[in-house]
Amino acid sequence: MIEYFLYLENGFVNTFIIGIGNIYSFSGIIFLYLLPPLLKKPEHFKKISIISVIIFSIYIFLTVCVILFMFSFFVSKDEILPLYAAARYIEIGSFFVRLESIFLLIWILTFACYLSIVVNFSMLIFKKITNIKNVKVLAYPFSILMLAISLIPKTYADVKYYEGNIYQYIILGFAYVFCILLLIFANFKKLKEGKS
Amino acid sequence: MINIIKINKLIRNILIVVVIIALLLAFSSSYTSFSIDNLAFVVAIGIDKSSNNDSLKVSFQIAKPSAISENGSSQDSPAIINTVEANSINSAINLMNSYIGKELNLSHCKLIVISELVAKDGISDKIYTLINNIQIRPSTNVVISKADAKYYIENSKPSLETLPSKYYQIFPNSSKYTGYTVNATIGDFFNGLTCESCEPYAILGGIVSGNNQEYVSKDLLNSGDIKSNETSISGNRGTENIGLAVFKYDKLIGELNAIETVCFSIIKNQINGFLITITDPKDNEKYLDLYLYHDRSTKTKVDLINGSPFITVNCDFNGRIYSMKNDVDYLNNEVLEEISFAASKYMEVQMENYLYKTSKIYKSDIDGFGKSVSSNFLTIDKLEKFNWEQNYENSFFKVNANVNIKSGFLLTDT
Repeated sequence: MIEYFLYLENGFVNTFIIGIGNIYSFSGIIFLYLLPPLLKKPEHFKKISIISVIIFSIYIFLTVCVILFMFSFFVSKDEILPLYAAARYIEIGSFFVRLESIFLLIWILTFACYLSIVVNFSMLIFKKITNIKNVKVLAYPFSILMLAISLIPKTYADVKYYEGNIYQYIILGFAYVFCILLLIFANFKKLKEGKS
Repeated sequence: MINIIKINKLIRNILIVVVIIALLLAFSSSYTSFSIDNLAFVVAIGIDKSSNNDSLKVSFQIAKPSAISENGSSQDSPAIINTVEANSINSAINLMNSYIGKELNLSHCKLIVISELVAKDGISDKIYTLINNIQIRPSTNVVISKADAKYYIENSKPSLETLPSKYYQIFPNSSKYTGYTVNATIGDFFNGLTCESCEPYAILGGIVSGNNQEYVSKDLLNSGDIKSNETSISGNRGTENIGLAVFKYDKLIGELNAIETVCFSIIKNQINGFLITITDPKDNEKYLDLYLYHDRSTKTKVDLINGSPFITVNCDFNGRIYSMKNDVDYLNNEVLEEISFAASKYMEVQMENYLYKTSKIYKSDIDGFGKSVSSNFLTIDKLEKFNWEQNYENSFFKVNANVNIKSGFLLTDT
């Protein structure tokens, strides 16, 4: 397996300095900022966040490995849903064939779980902002709003454009710059209040 | 209070009726959906050059449900073949849809046959078109036919199965125990096309020529040197699949015979066991049949020496003696060692001949050695400057084949 790798791919600068922008794929880190008040044992937060980042990294690594090793070494052709394309190759004997439908079912269920979590956090934030007592009814308008926004791009090319040029910078700016700065300032404020 | 309870019951009953109606609508067949009666299932596609060189002649072998049902006659052919000329595969499908009256469905297409003439001109656009089709499976086999694709499909009448689709599904399995053909799929072909470190390959198909031969030439008796269209086989089915079609990018540039296909499968670790025929070390006039199988997976290593690739292939086999003669002692270790040594040398020579043929003559890395060369470079730029596709012809090979013959199967001493 080692012999299939290029150690520095596009060079040191492109991989480690310019390539650091690819950290936007860890956008789930935003949920870590919102978790502490929801935990039953907040003292375990450090352990929880480290384990969740490691698990997430393993899944991303496995996904990338599947795509890189199954298809050509330099993935020069952009396939829609490369994992789905990989799932089409699964054949176990002559009975277990065409298993990509099961893959899609699992994928849809996973997506539904992810959307539920996102809507839940959206409702929590909205509750904090507006001081509403019962936010459960807001689940429907938030879901419809997400569906409406997802229908804005007309083509797959638009989706790729939004992902590469807009979403990437929103995540980098918000999750990694703004939120970290907010945490730092909040810590300064806490220290100042502690002294006074 | 009683009124509230009555109203609640009424609402509950209305809800139950609404849910039942919704479920009935959901599970009943819709007039807009396609049922199996509206579809024609294609089991094989053939692509030929038309008399007008700008267009294609596409043949569709379509399964006939009535012939394979319990009420169908056993005399009915289980499939029909229709041909149409068109500018592209999708135009041909469209025309055929309007002719047949049912919509063609490629979900059960097991075989794509492309004639040699079309393959020599390049088939990348056809492969990309087929891969882009959501119905075509990546496990569909690709055959390059030395005759017309339509003629190949017409003569691929299975003698041991009822359905041609079953035959198309099964025949590549012989690659596991003979090695004379390969399980070349359209998914592998597409990978080879897009990969910069390997080249595509396909099954070599041809017409059985033994039926017309009264006298079989001595060259055809050496089963290692044969390929499709050149064998001594005669039988009910008019087609055979022996050998491998070698591509350079998307153009057919050469063919491999049976033993070269075995060598390819050994390097790719796609073979369980295979038969070789070597000269008897005790008697040069006689031959010995040995059945070899992998002791462990074949290992390959690519190093760069003075800018040229040096490829080492290590393979280990165990073997059994198939052919038996009178007055032979196969329990004697010396005899077994002699045979093992002869078999090792035979395998080394055959594999080196095969590797140098793909490297010097065809200049096509169908074994995918280019994937192993990446670790010799730090960045993509350096790898691209090295240009593996051009440099593969400068490769040198060293094959270490270790064959360990154990004994015969049931007899050890005659």
